[in-house]
Amino acid sequence: MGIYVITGATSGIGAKTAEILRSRGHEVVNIDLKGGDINANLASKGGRAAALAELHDRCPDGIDALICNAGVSGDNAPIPLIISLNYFGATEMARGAFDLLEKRHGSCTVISSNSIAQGSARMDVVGMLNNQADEERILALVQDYDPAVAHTFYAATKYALARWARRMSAEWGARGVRLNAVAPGNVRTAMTANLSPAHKVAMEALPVPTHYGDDPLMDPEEVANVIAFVASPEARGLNGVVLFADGGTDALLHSEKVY
Amino acid sequence: MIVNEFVAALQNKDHVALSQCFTEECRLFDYCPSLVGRESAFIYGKRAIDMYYHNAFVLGGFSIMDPRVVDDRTVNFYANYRGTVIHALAQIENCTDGVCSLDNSLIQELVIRPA
Repeated sequence: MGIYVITGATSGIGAKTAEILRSRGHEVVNIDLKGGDINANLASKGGRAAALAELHDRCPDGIDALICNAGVSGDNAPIPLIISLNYFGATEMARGAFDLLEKRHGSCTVISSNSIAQGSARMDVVGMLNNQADEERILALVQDYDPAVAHTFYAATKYALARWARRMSAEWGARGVRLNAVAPGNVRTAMTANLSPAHKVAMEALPVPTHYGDDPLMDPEEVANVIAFVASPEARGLNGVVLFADGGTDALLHSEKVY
Repeated sequence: MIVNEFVAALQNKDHVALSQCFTEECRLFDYCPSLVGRESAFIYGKRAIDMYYHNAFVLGGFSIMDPRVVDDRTVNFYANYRGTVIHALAQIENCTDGVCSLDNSLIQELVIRPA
């Protein structure tokens, strides 16, 4: 049985993924702000360093998978937090745990979002994150932006995260560590439970074909099972993939995007 | 005529009513988005039309202006893609009654092209 490390597994998709993996006999290490096996604030450099240090102490012989799931939505979080947690909280944790993954030829799965296909991401921010990932400078730049446009920064972090996985996957794959992204659709979680009326209208305008005429939100389990598979050795043929686990929303809106 | 119901649904941004203009096994192609840097739309099935236009009306900034019904099969209008306007022509290629003029006629194939 494997050792699976998940960030943000106290609730939502992360918790369901942990539950699935535990039910299959795997050891799961939850790194979260509260209620984790390792409690840490992954939005801060200090928090990430502490989490990585504790992870290395707990798992000196390596880990089989890292699932970078922790994140906040564009509806209820300040823009600097969206950037520091969603992007740096994933990429820096992945880089910091790479040596542990390499020891066991493990996999890293980052959780993106199907909002990356909507064209709402600020591509200038995506470029900064991917090309000049200076966290302090970027946070200083965005601190005074209007929170009303936070969703464009959310989409930017998720777009950059998917592109980061694509960019890094060749080198990591050659070193025995697979790196993929899963892009969920709208899922019933704490993140989507308290949306503003405007964001609820917007969310419902991203229809989930497999839920047509039914609940517009997917169950966390629908996405968690995909994540568990992508992270597992059974998916060893997958590397550098951005897999949309959205019930077909991306295909509905972008049917011509075959490659 | 079904073309009038199609136009009314577009004007009202009513994605449900729009989908009800079509048969179960229909297709709708829209080549105009390519002129504004978007993907053309190739939509198969009335439920897909419902969902696609739900997204287009709410998030895609899509609307139509000044529609002129030319005949039982054709409507000429301005298609507004988030502020960029394309002069468009929607043509019903096939419908269930063959001539598209009966009250209970439904659209089987429709293509929207730049006019």
